[in-house]
Amino acid sequence: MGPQVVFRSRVLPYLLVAPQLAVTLIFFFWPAAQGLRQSFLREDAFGLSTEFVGFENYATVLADPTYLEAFGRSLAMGALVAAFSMGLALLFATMADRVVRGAHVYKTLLVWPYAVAPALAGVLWFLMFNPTIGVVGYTLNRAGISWNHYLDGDQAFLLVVLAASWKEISYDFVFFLAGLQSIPRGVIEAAAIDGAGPARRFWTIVFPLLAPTSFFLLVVNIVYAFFETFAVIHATTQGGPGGATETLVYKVFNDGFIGLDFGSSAAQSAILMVIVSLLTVAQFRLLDRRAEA
Amino acid sequence: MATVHLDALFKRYANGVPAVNGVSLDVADGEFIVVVGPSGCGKSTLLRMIAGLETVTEGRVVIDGAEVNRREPGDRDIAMVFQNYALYPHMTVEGNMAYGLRNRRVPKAEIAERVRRAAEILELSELLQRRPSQLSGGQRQRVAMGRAIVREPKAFLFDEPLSNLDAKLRVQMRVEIKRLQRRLGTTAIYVTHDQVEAMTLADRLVVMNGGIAEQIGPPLELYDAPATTFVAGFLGAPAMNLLAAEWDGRFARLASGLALALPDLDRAPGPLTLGIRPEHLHFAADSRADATVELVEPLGADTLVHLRLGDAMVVARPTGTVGLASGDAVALDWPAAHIHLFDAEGRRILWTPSERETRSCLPVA
Ligand SMILES: Nc1ncnc2c1ncn2[C@@H]1O[C@H](COP(=O)(O)OP(=O)(O)O)[C@@H](O)[C@H]1O
Ligand SMILES: [Mg+2]
Repeated sequence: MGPQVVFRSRVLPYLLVAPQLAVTLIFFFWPAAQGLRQSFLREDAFGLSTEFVGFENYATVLADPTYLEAFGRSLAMGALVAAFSMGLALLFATMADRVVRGAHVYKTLLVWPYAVAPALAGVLWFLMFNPTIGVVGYTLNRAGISWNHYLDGDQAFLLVVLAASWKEISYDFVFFLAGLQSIPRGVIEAAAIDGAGPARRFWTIVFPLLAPTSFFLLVVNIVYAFFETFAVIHATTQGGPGGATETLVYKVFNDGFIGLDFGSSAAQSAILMVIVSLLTVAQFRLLDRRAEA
Repeated sequence: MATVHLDALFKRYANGVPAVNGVSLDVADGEFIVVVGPSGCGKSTLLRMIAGLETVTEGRVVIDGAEVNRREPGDRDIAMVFQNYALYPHMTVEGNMAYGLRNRRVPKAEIAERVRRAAEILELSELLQRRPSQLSGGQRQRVAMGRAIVREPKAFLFDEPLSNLDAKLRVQMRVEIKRLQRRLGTTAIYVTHDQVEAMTLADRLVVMNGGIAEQIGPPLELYDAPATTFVAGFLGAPAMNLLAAEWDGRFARLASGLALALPDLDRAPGPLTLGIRPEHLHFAADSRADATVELVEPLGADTLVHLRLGDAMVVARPTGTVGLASGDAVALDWPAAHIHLFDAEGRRILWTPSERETRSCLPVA
């Protein structure tokens, strides 16, 4: 703990935190409360009357097979994005950690994709894979692999995963690189003297020491895949083809703003909020335990 | 157990820094070599080249008769103890010690036995299941030692292993390291900047300066006959008094005006450096006033008397306490047998005065 400032005035401290508090209240707590309230209401088709229905919206949502499908799809997307981006980021970070010459250029280039807006990243990848005008899509089709993500749901899903992972690699890379550089060089050298080759050093020393970083990134990546992929999906597939890329968040948007079923949409939002809270709590708990050890 | 042979080792780092400039050394089987020198003189670089953690720019590292320049650190059969211990933070004490043996596929039962024995020697038996973060500095140091001895390597390499300990623990561990090395009979190369550690541990000392070995030999030999002004000034605390003088064929004239007769010195006139250790600089029962007392520091067993000699400062170290106070004028006695002479380049001048007894070189006005 650093030195603590003691305020003489009773008003000043409150004034100082007021802006932050106001922003949080207006842009987070108020809409969240509105959403929660809405999830217990049902509105008629014309928005003229509302009625309190208790947990009925939740029951409907949880019994809806399309919702459960979207749930599975989101989980799959989270797992795939996390695996892709973390795996590649770790590989790149391990290599960047060894580069002596031109390390700056290499690192800067690897971080760049993070500066690209998610929607743009999505459009970019879709153009590249476009079956007729995209470099990759055209080449694939010429090579006999039929590629058309406008029709094939699995391919569309894969493409969303790729676009989302591509951006996330940069983020994970920065954290893995920092994690690698915080491992004392002496520890690696001691392992080398203890007869461990590069691969064994990686799996027995480096990887375990990166565990806290990895867990942090796992949670961040899953949350990212759950929520931030909205922009990618919205700019490209809009949940299609045939709902193949409709994730939980996209379904919230679809049911609420397109289907105008506000009660169901609000209930879905509330469930998402619970999921994120659980993930965050799990993360803090684990980090706390690590800090104590 | 093995010999280590260094053949004209050079190291230039990628940024052009020449860290080691041609060091040759023969380490006998079971010998305890201490490499000592000021910070940045290339001690760690030298040790890391032996370990295989740095590439050798030029020269050869030979362990047990085989050149190992291109061998991986793990294939050189050496163990190293680092200054910050470099323990594996995610492993227990036991895991730390067993790691090197597991990598070498030593049978499980033997690993357990060797770890148990090492833990017993180092009094770590109670701590085997702890992690490094749950240990004190001294205990971590022991674990680092344990990790080295379970391997039963050809040689131990130490890079300032005691620098991070407090003074009392440092003395204790110093004794323990020496005893352990004697008991195991393992060849050891130990790097330190602490000259007390160096003097007490070494069978032979290597004094390094600016990437070269200034002098190699048993500690007392180096103490009694330093080959250069650097070695003379580096070994011993307080350091040897080194005074610039002009040799005119009969007297060495100091800047303060004091002139010392140097019997039997056969040498053309010219500049030289005159050295004398504080414990050899005596006070003469004389009424001359050679020097003025500036500061008296009583240490109990002896006393440090700082003296002004013209522009220069010298330190005398009489035993017990002395009845001197700052401002007092004193006469000095310069026993010929303890005067060291160095030429303008700082190299030792061979000089055997016929009067080997404690005979003053009388200061001449
Ligand atoms: N990795 C490195 N790259 C470039 N210069 C280095 C490196 N390591 C050490 N040096 C330089 O080499 C010289 C010797 O360093 P070192 O062997 O660590 O000295 P010591 O251990 O005696 O303090 C120093 O001038 C130091 O700055
Ligand atoms: Mg060093």
